[in-house]
Amino acid sequence: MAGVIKSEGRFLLQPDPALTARVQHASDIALLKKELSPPELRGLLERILQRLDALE
Amino acid sequence: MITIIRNPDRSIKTYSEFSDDPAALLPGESLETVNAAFSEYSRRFTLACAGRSGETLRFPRASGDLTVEVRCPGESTAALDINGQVETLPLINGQAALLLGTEVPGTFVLKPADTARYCPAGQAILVIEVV
Repeated sequence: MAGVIKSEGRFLLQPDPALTARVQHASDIALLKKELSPPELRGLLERILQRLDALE
Repeated sequence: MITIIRNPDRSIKTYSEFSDDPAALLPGESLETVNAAFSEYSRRFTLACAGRSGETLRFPRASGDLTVEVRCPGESTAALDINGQVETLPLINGQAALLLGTEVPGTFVLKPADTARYCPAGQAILVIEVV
């Protein structure tokens, strides 16, 4: 379960790396249609690994 | 008259308006009776969002702040467990409200912090998914 933080009277969820990665699913698919730079490739692999890790 | 089943740690597991058979208890659980009507007992602590209570709610990410209404009739404060973080709210006429942000996807689970006093089930627990 994600933790929460209180900020300016509101409660916010602390970002879960796997959920944050999942939100980028569509843009990651779009990334595959072009040549990837090393940083883009690294970011894509990180997000894949974060989602895989959450599945284990 | 209602019957309460307590977990070994004294938190309330469940309650009903029918008499439960003590033989059905798991090891460490205990049974007690309270002289109250079911509806009265179940309204001692309730949570609602967007007029809905006792169900899992789902809202899109970045859809604005959500207001959760807390009702605890006759009390001046209410201790709430929000994803494991305890927040004590001052109540006005037994009511308070708190805001949840929807910027980050995930799941909010809100329930009473004092589960020996209030059963974290039914209208006393609220699960809100931000997707």
